[in-house]
Formats: sequence, structure tokens, C-alpha cells
Amino acid sequence: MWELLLGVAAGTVTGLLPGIHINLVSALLFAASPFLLQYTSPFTLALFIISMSITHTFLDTIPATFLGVSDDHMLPAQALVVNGRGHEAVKLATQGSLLCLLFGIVLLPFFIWGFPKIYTSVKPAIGWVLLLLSIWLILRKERFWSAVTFGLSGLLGIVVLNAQLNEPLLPLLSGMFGTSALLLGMRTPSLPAQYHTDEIHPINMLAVTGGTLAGALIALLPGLGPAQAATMAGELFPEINPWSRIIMAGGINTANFLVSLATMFTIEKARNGSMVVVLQLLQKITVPQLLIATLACVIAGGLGTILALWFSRVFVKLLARVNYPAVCLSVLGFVVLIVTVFSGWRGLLILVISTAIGLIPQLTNAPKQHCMGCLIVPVMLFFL
Amino acid sequence: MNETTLLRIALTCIVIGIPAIYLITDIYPATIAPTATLTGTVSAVSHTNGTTLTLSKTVVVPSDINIKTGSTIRAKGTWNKDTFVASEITVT
Repeated sequence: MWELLLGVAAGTVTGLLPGIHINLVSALLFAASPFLLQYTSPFTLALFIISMSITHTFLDTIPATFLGVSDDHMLPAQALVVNGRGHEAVKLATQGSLLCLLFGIVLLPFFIWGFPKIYTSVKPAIGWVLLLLSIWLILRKERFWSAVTFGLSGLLGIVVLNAQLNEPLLPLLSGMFGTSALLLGMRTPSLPAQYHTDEIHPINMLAVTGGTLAGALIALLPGLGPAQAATMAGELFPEINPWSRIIMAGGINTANFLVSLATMFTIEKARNGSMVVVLQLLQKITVPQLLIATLACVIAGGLGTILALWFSRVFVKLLARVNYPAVCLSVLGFVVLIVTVFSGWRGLLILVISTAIGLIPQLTNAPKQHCMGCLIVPVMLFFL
Repeated sequence: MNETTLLRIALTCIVIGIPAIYLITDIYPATIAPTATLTGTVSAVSHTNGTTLTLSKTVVVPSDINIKTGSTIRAKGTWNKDTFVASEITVT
């Protein structure tokens, strides 16, 4: 049980601190595993990573909601922050995470039954599926700038993933999704006063279903990110309202980690960094291990919900007292420091370029999901 | 859904999850810790190929070790399904 609680504590830190990602912690843990395995078992380390990953998906909603808010490009949750309802946004996303986690557990036997069949059918065409999905997403909105963002991200992804660099994804993704938003957020002088509402949004099962299925899709198909999955789920269920979209977006990542257990069990594949480390540690996941890992997800989800709601209130109080541009600048400095420590000066150079690419969709109103081209294009080229 | 309901669901997850993990770990002890140290008082001894001790779990020890009901043992070893195969035993 201690490994589960330590994982929850680590997931809280990685969720709240932009720059310290679960992939980084998992990679460090794997590097230290020859030493750690003298004292503990591979499954204990795996449980730590799984509970950390699940907790992270509950807590990372808080910085994503409150940091980097600017008029240039606003996520639905950030639109609520501007209206003083940031805590409500976190509450909706947390609700999505917990309900998608529980619904994902209900569907887990179906995923275990269906994934090998679906994967066998789709595998020969993965490259083409990703190509068609990317074209469809580019054609939906701001076609020119979407194509520019996707193309440049893809080019940078190919260069970075083929370079001999420590932690290549750290500067690549931090720049595109983190520092670019923080730079623009620094132009916001302060956040409006935040207040608590008791407004009750009924549980939208379409949003929960969409979030769970979208999470399952990205657990099955390599390269796709939560944003693409959310767009597809939004197309599948067009009638859901903006509040439900926050629920759905909140649940996708959590469902993705849960469903990754099913992909590891059935097709022995993992689609996200921390789960790759779990698979490397265990080689193969057994039925009892799957059961315990699923229960660890349930406990981490329960604790993650309580922590997310508590930290959200703390954030609301803190942000009312501090200088908002200074907070964004401090976080920016922290990310630069982490990238320099783990990826060196070349990582810093990649961070600058990926930040510049990340600014393009924010300033042109193109969907930011096209930055995921940095992973989709290399994966596409691998499969085509 | 209001915040109280959300917290109730979260607490239910924790309250159900923790005993369930202990239950599965009890059924499949090797899942969590393939190696372990057991300490306990011998409640029954049966002689087959080796000597079988009944603690909270079945422990197999080499036959040349003199074990009596009521002995206290400390055994280091590994789990093989639900049987603990001891490799290093201290009997007092």
C-alpha cells in the first residue's frame, strides 16, 4: 500500500508542477531500477508508476486551467476562469476523470476482449488511419495555419526524435503546450476574482462515454493525443454542451491510462511514456496483477479527486493574492531549468523552437492539437 | 453533480479499493512480493516429501529441519502461487 500512496504523492507533485512530467519521473525510476529491485519487486515499482499516472491526470487540470490564461487562445476551462468560475472548471474536469475511470473499469472486459481483434485489423493501416485523421482535423478549422502548425511540428518531431538527446519529449512538448501558453499568459495583468458556485450540472453520460471511448482510442492508436481524441468524440456527440466538453476532456487522459492496462495485458503495447516503463519492468502483466493495478487506479482516482478539489481552492486563494504575470514567469523559469538539467543546451534550443511553433496556433486561432504533429508524423512515417 | 456527491464517490472508491487490494493480495501473494520473510508459530506439521508448516499460509521447509507444533519460525523465501517455499529458516 505504501507504493500506492507514494505514487499518489508523486502524481500530485507532477500534476501541479508544469515541467515535472510523469514520463520524466518514470524514466528516472527505470534508470534507478537495478538498485531499487534489490529491495523491492518490479510490480511494486509498477504500482507506484500507475498510481502516480492516474493521480497526475486529476491534478494537472489545475495548472492547465489557471496558468497561461490569455485572450489569444482560450480553452473551455479557461473561459470559466475569466468568468471567475475556475474552481467549477476544475470540479467538472475532476468529475470527468473519476466517472470516466469508473466507466472505463466497467468496459474493461470488453476492451480486453475486443482490442486484440481491433488491433490486428487496424495495424496494417495505422499509418493511413493517422494520415486521414490528420487531414480531416486540418480541414476542419483555419486550414492554412493548421497545416503550417502540423507540418512544422512534424518536422521538428522527426529531427528531435532522431537526435541523440536525453528526454527528447521534455523540451518538445513543454515548449508546444506549456511555455508558449505561459508566455502569452504573462500579458494578462491579473485573473478576475474567483468565486464558488453551487450550480449543479447533471451528469452527462454522453460526455463520460465519449471521454472513455476517446481515451481507449488513444490507448490503441499510437501518436494520437487527447486533443484529437476530444475533437473526434465531440463530432460523435455534437449535442453536448461546453460544460460537458470539460467533463469529457478531463476524463480522456484518465481513461487512457486505465485502458493502457488492457492494451498491455492483451497486445503487450503501451502508448504513453510511463506505461512503457511499466511494461519494461513487468514484461508481461498477469491477471492478478491486472486486478490489483485496476484497484490501485480506483484508490488513486478517489484520492486524486479529493486532492484536486482541495488544491483548486488553494490555487484560487493564492492567485487572488499574487502577481499573475510573475507566477507565469516563475513557472516558465522552472520549466527552462528542468529542460536545461535533463536535456542540456540542445534541449534548450528545442524548447525555444517548439515554443515558437506552439505560439502559431495561439496567435492564429488554429486548434492547438495540431502541435501533436510532432508525434503523429514520425509515427505515421514509421507505419507507412 | 455537486461537490459533496463527487467527494462521496471518491471516498467510496477508497473504502472499497483498499480491502479489495488486500483480498486479492491474500489470494495471490506472489503478485505483490515474489520474495518475502514470514514469521509465525507453527500450528500444524505434516510429513510428505518435505515438512509442511501451516502458518497463515502454507510454508514448505526442507525435511532435515526439526519442526514441532508450537515452534516459532522465521522463514525467508519465495512464493510459488499460494505456497511459500522457504530457503532460509530460523527455528526457535
